[in-house]
Amino acid sequence: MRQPTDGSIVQARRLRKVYRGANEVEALRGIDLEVERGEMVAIVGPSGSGKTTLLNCLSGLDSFDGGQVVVDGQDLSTMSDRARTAYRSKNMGFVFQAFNLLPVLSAVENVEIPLLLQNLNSRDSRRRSLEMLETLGLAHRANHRPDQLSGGEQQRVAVARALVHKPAVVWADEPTGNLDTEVTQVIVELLVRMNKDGQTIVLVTHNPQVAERARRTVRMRDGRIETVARELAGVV
Amino acid sequence: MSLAAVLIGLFVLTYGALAVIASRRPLLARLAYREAVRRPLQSALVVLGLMIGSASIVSLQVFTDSQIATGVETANVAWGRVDLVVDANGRLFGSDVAQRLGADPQLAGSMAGAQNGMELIASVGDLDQRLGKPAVRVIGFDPATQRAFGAYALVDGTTTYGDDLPTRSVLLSRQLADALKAHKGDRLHIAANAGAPGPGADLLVAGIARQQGPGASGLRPAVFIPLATAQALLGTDQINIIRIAASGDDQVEVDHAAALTAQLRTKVSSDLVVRAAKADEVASVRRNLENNRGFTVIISLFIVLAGTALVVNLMLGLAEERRPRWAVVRALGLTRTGLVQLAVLEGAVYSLAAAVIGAIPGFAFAWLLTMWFASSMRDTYGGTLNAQDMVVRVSALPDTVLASIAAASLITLATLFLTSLRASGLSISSAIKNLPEPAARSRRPSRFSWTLLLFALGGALMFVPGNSTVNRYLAGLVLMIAAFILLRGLLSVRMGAGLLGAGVTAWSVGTLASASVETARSNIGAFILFFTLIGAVFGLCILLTANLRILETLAGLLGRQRGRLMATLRPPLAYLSRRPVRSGLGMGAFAVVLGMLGAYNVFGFVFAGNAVRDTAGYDVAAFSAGTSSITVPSDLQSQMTQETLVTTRTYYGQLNMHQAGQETGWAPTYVSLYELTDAQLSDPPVRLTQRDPRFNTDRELFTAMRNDPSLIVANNFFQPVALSLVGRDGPLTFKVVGQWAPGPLFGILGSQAAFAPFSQVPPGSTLLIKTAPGVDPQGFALALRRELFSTGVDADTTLHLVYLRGAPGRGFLDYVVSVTRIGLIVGVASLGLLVLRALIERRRVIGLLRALGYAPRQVLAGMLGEAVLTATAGIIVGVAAGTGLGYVYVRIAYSATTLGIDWPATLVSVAGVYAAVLLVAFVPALRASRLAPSEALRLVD
Repeated sequence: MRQPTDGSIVQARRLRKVYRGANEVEALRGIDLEVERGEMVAIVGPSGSGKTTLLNCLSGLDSFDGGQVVVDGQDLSTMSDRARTAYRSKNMGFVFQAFNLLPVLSAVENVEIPLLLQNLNSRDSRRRSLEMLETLGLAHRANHRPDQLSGGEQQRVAVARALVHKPAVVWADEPTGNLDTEVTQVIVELLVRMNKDGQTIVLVTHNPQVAERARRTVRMRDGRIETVARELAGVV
Repeated sequence: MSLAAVLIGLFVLTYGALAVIASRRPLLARLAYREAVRRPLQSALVVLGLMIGSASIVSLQVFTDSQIATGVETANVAWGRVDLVVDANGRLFGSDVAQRLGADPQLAGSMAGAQNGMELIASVGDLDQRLGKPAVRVIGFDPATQRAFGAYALVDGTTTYGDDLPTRSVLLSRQLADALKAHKGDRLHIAANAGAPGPGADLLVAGIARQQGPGASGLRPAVFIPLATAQALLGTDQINIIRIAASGDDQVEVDHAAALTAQLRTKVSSDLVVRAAKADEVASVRRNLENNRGFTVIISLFIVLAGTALVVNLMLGLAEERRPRWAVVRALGLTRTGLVQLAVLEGAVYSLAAAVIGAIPGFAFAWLLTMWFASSMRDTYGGTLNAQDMVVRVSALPDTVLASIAAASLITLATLFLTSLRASGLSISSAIKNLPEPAARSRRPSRFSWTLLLFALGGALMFVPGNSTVNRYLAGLVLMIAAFILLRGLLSVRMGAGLLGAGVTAWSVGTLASASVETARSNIGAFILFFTLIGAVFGLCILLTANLRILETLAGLLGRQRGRLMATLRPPLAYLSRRPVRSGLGMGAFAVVLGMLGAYNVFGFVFAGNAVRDTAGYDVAAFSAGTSSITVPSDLQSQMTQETLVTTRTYYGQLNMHQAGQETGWAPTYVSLYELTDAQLSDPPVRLTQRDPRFNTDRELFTAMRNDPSLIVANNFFQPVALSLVGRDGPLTFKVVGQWAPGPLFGILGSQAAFAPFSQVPPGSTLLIKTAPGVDPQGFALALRRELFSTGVDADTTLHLVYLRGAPGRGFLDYVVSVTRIGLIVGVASLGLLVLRALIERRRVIGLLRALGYAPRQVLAGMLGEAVLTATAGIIVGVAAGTGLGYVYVRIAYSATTLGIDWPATLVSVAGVYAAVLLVAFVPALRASRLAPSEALRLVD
């Protein structure tokens, strides 16, 4: 059921997530968070603070034990896995630390995946994917496979894949974790540019230089939001 | 030094060297151990995969041992206490010899007894049951000397040496009693002779002998008859055989028999022949079955090859999974050699465990195969052995088992070593982060490659001048592979692999097609078929793998309309087409086995029989061993349109087969000799399935037989070029120029001149009848049998005889198919294991796809699709190569044969494979589809 958004594209209320096992760990302890449409939010915090878990729950990759997550008016907590999967394919893009490109597919074939999943025919998928790669300066590498690309190029392909179907939100988990400073800069600039074009981006990072480029920084500790800082809050 | 000793020695050396490495580099040993026990389920999976090869090797070798043990034991039972025989090539001779030998003090130490005897072939009719049986063995024994040969144990629980039997009474073997439905007290009519038809005699059944001791003699339908009664049948006081029992048991008996053979030859007149009958038959059985080991090895090689493809695939998967951890230890200072040692140490644990554990299912399958073999032995003995009388020995000789385990371990270890060499060349920085391996900078061959290439060329050139087809074939393959390596970098991989695959396939087909008839029919023919089939399978696999992108193109066409379908198909197709080595190995495991099955489906068609051809148009056949003619009663004459009477002599004597300068050795054999008159040679009662290539038609061949008495046609001797039999005046050798399928006639066909030297063998007859339209052949045969039972005439429909006598051929094919099924299990298990491995290896990718929006059903469909496509490619390659090469081979070796393919059998196999593949792949694919994306993405390895 579509929920009122009040200008927010992502709303999390009293979000709880518990990892059960020999030692039960409460990874998220009643998180409340809103992300505005067109906003770029960085989630930071020490290891084990729950950053990636929060991102997984917000993006519908993971289920949660309590609370509510509404993305673009859709309540993820009431959705079946099937509906969440379909919703992800249409409305979300992902960028991961390890790039996570399919090693057996070329750059353009990797980028095409979200479009094909939306049943776009292969000709249009190819055209739009090539356009996206061109936008990111990778048109000449379109037919190369991941093992023929540098780390920066692989991550740019991953960004292209995340953006190609114009998702409501792009989720990026440590997108520069495997990159050197120079390439990190390139990727961050790319994300900032996309954000300026109106793309909502939520990213998890350890890197202060990356975090300070976000409009808002959410600092987490022990499964809770510790502070929220707006606009170039370099202190976080 | 035997092969077993070499294998065991190599095994000890290899594992000894690994133990030294482990003791000198304890860190490596510890790491290898920890890797092996880190994920027990995964390690179990690897061991399960590796077990397949060892199970197949152990099963087939133990089966061969069991065949030999069963064959030897059967021969021992058939001869009982009779070790030697003295005869005059079937002629009668004086009865004083046995008494003289028995009293000879020089023989007393090693001889337990000597007995005058009579061996006849007769027709027997049970006058009370109104049933008859021709070609029954009549064994005349002397009750006075029977104690040295043991007592007859009767089914009523009593025993007898024959001295208490009433006058003119006999014992029946249980097989004969079953065939005649005879009981104690029944009246029998026996028509027997020793050169000329006798009047026959009416006798009484005094008892039915169990198949043990002397009652098992010959393991055929038999009448045991006191010597005096047997002599009375022929009206003579002479004998035609002396039986000798050596003293002692087991090896002592064998040694005494050997000593006696030499001694007796100096003590009997020159017209008598001393034969070490039991030892000769045991040696013949052992030799023939030992020769079969080569065939068994060939079949097991198919399975081992399929298993090896699986091992390589598993190891490549394992190496991919271990890559980040291996990169860490490399970064910490472990050399590449050290990494190989680490991988091999770990693999040594798996391969040894797999070889030892695999022996257990190996034994189980060997037991099943041995049971099959035992039942085919029944066919060898005329289908008359009772199940409870079967002699079956499952034998696992320690050296065979150890050698099999050693061979399986070494093959696996060698494969692991080569795989780890490839895997150890990882890029440390990429591997640590689990990033893709950077593309190789240069594709030019290294110095090592050049050296290897030079060696290969040198080796190949050494083979080329040789005459051996196999060597020439292998040399050609080596040259093609060398050329492929040399051209790497100049041609695209796809083009190079395509050319190599096409070249290897063409070379394989060409080599087999150019084989001569003699080569194809010789033992080497089977090896050529094996090698070229393997070559063609792998050639086609390479060709297909290099062109799997065509599938992607086809999927692309579908994707023009339906993007989601394209999205579902793309990852599995990409995994198939862009990892050619692993895809090729996956389909190769299947294709090798299906290749064998495809070839045998062609053979199956050839050997399965053809009712129209094999009955030669006749509907009923009647047989008599005691009379040279069969007269159809007048009331049945009107129900038939044609009859052909063929004089038939049942030869029971020594036979030797010759082929390509080798001979099987003399062994006692029963065989029917069919004497064709000139008129019958003009219109022969059989249709040939195989002809000497000198003759273009059956007519040409039979005309030549009329003019040349050394030419014969035989149907129960598969490949011999020549056969030797012992005639009235000594051995005679005949050239086999044709073959016909077993049917109403079953034995050897020759002209009257050809079989004239066998006048000592009593003539019997075979009457072939064409019934009138509308007459039921079965009813006619039964009526004929009922009317002529008193003369021991048996009659049956020709269709039933074709079925019965084709049993050994069908049994052989069943055996091959049974063994092939192990291979199919290998193929199916391979795919199941590969899907399971894919689940482990691709967790991240699956997680990513799920994150991007792939529905679980798309993941499921993708993984099942990949398995089905691999199986399909394997099936296409295997069936094409097997059927094609089987066709080529049969066309050369069996020129007169009607060619065809057993399509129902092929389709059933293919359908079974698909069902099994879906079954084994479904569970892992389902698990993959249910992976939570965040869990899968979180996982590092």
